[in-house]
Amino acid sequence: MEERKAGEQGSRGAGDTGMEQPAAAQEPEAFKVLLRRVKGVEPLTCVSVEDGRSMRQWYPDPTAEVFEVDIATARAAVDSGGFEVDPKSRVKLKTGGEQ
Amino acid sequence: MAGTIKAYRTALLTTAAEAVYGVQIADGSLTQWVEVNEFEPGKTEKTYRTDAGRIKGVRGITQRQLESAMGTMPRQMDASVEVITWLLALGLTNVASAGTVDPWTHTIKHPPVCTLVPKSTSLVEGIVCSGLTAGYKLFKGCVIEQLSIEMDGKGAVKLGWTWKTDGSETTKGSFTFPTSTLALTYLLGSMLTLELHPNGGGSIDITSLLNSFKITLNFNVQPRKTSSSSVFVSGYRYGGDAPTVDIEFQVSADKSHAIYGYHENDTLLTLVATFDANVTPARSVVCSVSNCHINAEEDADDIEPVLNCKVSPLDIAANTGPAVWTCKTGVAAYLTPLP
Repeated sequence: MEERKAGEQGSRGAGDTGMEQPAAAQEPEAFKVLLRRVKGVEPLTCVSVEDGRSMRQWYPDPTAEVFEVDIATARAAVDSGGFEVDPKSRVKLKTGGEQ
Repeated sequence: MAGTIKAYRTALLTTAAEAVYGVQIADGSLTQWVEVNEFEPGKTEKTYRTDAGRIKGVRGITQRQLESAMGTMPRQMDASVEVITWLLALGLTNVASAGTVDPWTHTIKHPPVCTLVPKSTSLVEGIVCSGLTAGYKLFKGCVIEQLSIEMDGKGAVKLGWTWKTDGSETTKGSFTFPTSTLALTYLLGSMLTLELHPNGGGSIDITSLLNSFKITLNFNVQPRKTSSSSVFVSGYRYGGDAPTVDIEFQVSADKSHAIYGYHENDTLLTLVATFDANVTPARSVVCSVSNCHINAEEDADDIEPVLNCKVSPLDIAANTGPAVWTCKTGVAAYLTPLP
C-alpha cells in the first residue's frame, strides 16, 4: 500500500465542502481541522470522502493520533465514527449543516 | 490451443485504482494475477463515420473514419473473499477500512447521491507462451459494469463481472507477468449463512432450507458524452438509478412457511447474507440489507415444493443505499490511487 502522510490528500475538485472554493481549490490553513482518533474504536486505515462527482480516499497514518485535514475530509472522518474534532482545533464542524 | 486457459493471465493490482481515469497504473505495479475460469479476452467495439450507406455505383473509395471505441471484458471465476472485496470497492467507491493487524475490516456502502463516477483500474492480459508476447495487451480505464455472486448448493460460489474499458488496447511486448496467482480464500455454498427476519423481530436462519442464492450489482456504467481529445471513452458514469442490488434465492419450503407470510403481508424485513470461510485470520463477506420486502412464488423442483424469492431492497439514508457490505481481508486499504 502506498504510504501517505497524515492529512495528505489525493486529487480533489471543488464543491465538496459546502463552501465557496477558491479557484485553486486549496483551503487556507485557517480552514484546516484538527482531528484525533476516538478512543476505543478500531483505527481506521481508509476513509472515503465525497469529492465533487467522485469519491477520494483518505489514508490516515495508522501510527498517528492527531491529523490536520480539510473540512470535507474532517466531516467524512467524523461521520465514520473513528475520529472526532480535537478540542485544540481552531475550526469546528457544525453538526448536520454547513461549516 | 490446448493450453490457452492455463496460459491465459491477467496482471492487475487489487489494492489500487487509477488516480485519473484512463491513465494506466504503471506496468511495474501490476504484480498480481487471479485465475479465471474461462478464456474471455478483451473485445473492442468501434464506431465509424462512413459513407458506405450512401454510395451508389462507382464513386471512389468508401470513406471510413474511426469515431469512437469502447472495450468489454467479461470475467468468471470461483468466488473468493479477496476478489469480491476488491470489485465492490472499485464499483461502489465508498469504503471505510479499519484495523491494526490482519484481518482488516472494510465497510463498503453505496456511493452518495452526488457521486457519479466509479473507480477505474488497469489490466494487462496475455497468453503467456513463448513467442506470443505481441499479444500482451494493456487495457485501461476499466470499470465494472455488472457483478454477480451466485451460490447453488454446496458447490463453489461463482463470481462473474464485466469490465468496460476506455476502448484502447496497447501492446506490451516486454511485460513481465506475475508467476504465481494471488493467494485467495475461495468460497463454497456451504459457507453461506442467510438470515431473514421482520424488522424488530427475531432472526430466522434459513440456511438449512437454502438451495440457491444470487446477488447482482448492476452499475450500468455509461460513457461520458464529452468529446474529449481522442476517440476513446473519457470516463464512465453510473447509469440512471444505478448502482442497484438484486437478490434472489430459493428455499425448500412451501406456502406454509413464515417466508411466504412475509410476502403475503408485505412485511418489512432485514436480510443478512454471510459468506464466511471460517479461517484464521478471518475472511468473510457480509451483505446486510436493513429494509426490504420479498416476493415469494411457490414452485417445485423434481421432488418437493420450493419458494423462489426476490428481494426488493429499500434505500436507507444512513447506508447511502440499499445494502452495506462488510468484508474481512488481509489488505489494510483499497483504492490507493496510482499513476
